[in-house]
Amino acid sequence: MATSSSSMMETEISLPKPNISEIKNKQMRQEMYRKMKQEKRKMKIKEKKRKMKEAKESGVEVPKQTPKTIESMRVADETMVNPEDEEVQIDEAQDEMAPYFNRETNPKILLTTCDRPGLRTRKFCKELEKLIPNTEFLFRRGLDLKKIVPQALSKDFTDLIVVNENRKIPNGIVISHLPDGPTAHFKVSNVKLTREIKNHGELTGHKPEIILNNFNTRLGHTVARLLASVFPQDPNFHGRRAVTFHNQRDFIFFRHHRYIFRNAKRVGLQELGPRFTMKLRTLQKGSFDSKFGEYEFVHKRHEMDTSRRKFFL
Amino acid sequence: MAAPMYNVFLGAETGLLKGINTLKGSWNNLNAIETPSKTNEITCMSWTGKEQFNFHVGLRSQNIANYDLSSQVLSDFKSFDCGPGNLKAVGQCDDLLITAVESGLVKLWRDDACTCDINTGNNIHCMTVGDNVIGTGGKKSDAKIWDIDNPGKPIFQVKNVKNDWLNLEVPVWVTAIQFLSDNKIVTATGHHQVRVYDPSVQRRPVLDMTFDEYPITAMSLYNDNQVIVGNTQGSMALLDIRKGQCVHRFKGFAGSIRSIQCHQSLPIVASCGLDRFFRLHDINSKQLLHKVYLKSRLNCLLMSKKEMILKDDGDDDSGAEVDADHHEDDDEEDGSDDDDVWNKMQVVKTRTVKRKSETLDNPESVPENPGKKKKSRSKSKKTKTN
Repeated sequence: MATSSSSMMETEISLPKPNISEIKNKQMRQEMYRKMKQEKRKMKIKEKKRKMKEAKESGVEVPKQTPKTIESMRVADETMVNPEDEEVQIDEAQDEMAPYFNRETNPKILLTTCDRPGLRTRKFCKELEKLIPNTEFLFRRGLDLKKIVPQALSKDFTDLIVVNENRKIPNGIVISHLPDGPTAHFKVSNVKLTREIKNHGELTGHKPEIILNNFNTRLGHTVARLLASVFPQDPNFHGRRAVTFHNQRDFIFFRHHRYIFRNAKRVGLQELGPRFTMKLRTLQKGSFDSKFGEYEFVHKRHEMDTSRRKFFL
Repeated sequence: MAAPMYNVFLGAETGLLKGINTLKGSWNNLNAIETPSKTNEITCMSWTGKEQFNFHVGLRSQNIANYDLSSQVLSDFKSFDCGPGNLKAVGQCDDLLITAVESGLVKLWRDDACTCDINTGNNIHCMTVGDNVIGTGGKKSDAKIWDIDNPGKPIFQVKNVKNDWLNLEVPVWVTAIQFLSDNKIVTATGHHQVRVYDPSVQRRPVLDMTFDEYPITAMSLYNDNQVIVGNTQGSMALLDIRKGQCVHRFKGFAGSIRSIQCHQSLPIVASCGLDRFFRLHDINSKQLLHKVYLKSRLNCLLMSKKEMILKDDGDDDSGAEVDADHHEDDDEEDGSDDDDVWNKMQVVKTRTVKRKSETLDNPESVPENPGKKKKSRSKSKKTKTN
């Protein structure tokens, strides 16, 4: 009523838009509000499209905007490795994985689980055994890890992988490089076995190629070297198997594919093995010794996770 | 200060010696490595005298060199035959060079000739040098104090604590040892205990406390009542060794702490470790003052007693005062120049200054104008000098 006198002239042309907040019926008001929002969005998109079209016609280059994700807005990390850095090269030339990269050792892996593993964990381990060449899967039988290490050493194993579970679902992996290499403890989540993946392929016995993505910090380098040293060098390229460790926001995504070159441009992928996600909890110097070992990195959640944009790998 | 004067030195696992200038926040490698080898690892460093003109750098392969601060030159590494095992610690007492190797053999050298050797028991983890005495300790060999002039027998040998409730022997693993004043010693162990011994009272500890659940790897004295310890998980804390309590913890560590050192006069602690960072904390406020990424895993560190002025802009009171004190102590020419300027300036009274000076509880300060004025003036001066 109050506005009617001022907008007398306009009413002749078009009805004034009802003030939504003055609608008394709640359901009605919500409905109107929703419609208004929808309308606005539509208008915005329309306007954007029109502008793009105009720009295209006039020949102006429109720069493609990059989305602001928490990853692209990452807090600057001073430990980021420059590949030409001499000091890092010296450090890596004498670290525990150096014999593998100098082709002095061939990986031989001992795979085991926690005591009394559940069905799912056992299945997961069987798949890991098939996936990683030169792996032996043994039942734990309640043996201490500290007792396993010297036995594994005497049998020339170069890595020890232990799969842990909670409520019969695998939730952790310990990778220990032998004889005195680092030991990494990963949290494991979202395990999908091969059978649960749609259109999964059959595994072949070829040596896979390893793809390690985004391990850019000094810690990331060490972890990547540890993960790489589990697989043998010199992949069989005609097997077209690729194992991917993709690091994104400190989560390491594990995927296993077979690729095929359809033509010069297109590549087809077929997922093969299990699929899971890992997150680094600790990195310990020396072989497994959780009580007396020295830690190089411990992920302390309350102390370190101060920013959502801070990553360590 | 034309040449970069380093005030903190660190030894890395790669064998690189690093110097940091905390004033400017710059650092540099002081030597170069041609062939990467694990034997290059710097395991220990120690000052050659109280004046801190130069220090020893000991490699794992029992090679020792000397770094001179004034000329900034690292001498060539000299090989010492210290005995079987890796070099664990070096020290200097007057003109004697003292080396300790893993197997427990401590040797005293005068002019590169071994004058005498002491077998301190196997698996040495730490050695410290006091006034003509050496303290040693290790795995399965409890802390001992030796007289340098009379090295035949230890002058004090620690007795292990009583058996536990199952009547089993309590394991011994001394990882750090320090001398307190009036002949007391303080040790830290791999079984997360901190123990204080008083040789004049008994051979068993007079105080036995625990810190956290992981092996303590480094310890440094702050004053006679407080020590700072660090462990393999990267927790560092200030402990009160009279009450046997943790005063507070320091934050920001990702990996095991290998070495801690408190400044001689200022409330500052430096630490380094496997996470490849050098950190400088204010002991009282727990604040992280300085943090440098040094690219290699760090084993040991030495902090000079001289200046340690901090990089902050003097927004917090304690830091500002530290700075100001130092300007008065060290840079006298600069200080006098500045003083003139400040003396000419008018005193600006602000509300906050007033309030601060009022809240300062000075027992003999009667609410008198001139006294107050002076105080506020000095305060403003201090904050402005930075």
